[in-house]
Amino acid sequence: MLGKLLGAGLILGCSSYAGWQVAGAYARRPVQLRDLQTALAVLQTEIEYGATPLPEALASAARAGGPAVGAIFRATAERLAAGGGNTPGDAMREALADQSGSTALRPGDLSIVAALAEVLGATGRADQVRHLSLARERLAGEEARAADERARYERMARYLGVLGGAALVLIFI
Amino acid sequence: MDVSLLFKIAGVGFVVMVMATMLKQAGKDEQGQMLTLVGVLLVLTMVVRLLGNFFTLVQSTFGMQ
Repeated sequence: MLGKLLGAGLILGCSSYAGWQVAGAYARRPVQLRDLQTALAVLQTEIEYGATPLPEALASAARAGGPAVGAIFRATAERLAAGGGNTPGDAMREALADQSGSTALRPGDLSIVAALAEVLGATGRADQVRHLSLARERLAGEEARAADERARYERMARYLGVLGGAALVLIFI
Repeated sequence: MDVSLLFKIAGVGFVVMVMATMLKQAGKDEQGQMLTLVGVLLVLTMVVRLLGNFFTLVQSTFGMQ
């Protein structure tokens, strides 16, 4: 009897935790998309008005981007500063591949940033600024969609986790 | 007669009903219908087992082995 109760509690706890994790990803995505836009805005300002060297510009974008999103820019800046013949595009692509696992961003969101990797530090100032504005606009669209998804699915994921666990317990008893 | 199976069926029905309502509210009507179908099949397997017991009982009562 005690074993059954323990198992039931374990199943319920695990499925509830899974539901909370999924709901948490839905909640974090709009926030991180906004962080990404802020970081890109800072980067754009640094490029447009400051004409700052790219590693420093990326570092200040990382400071503006919060912990999860900032890590992408920080890793890019570190890779660039380390030298070794990395182009900014390579550094950014590698940083994206490394750090994207710790964010709630989807491949579609990351591909918007990856498209920037081609032009960052490789073309003229006006061209880079145009690409950064375009990326920010696309990210704003994604953010609106992510907020809509959050409103619809966050609570659902939480409830489904708990209820799915309850259903499993009922079936196994 | 074992009543616990009845409670189990009632519980599964209740949980599936609430889950289907949640899915429908979130705009995932198809998944909700699929879940209801799964719940019905689940309960049906339990009921079929009971029916099987019932028929063997009838057979043994009237000596129709």
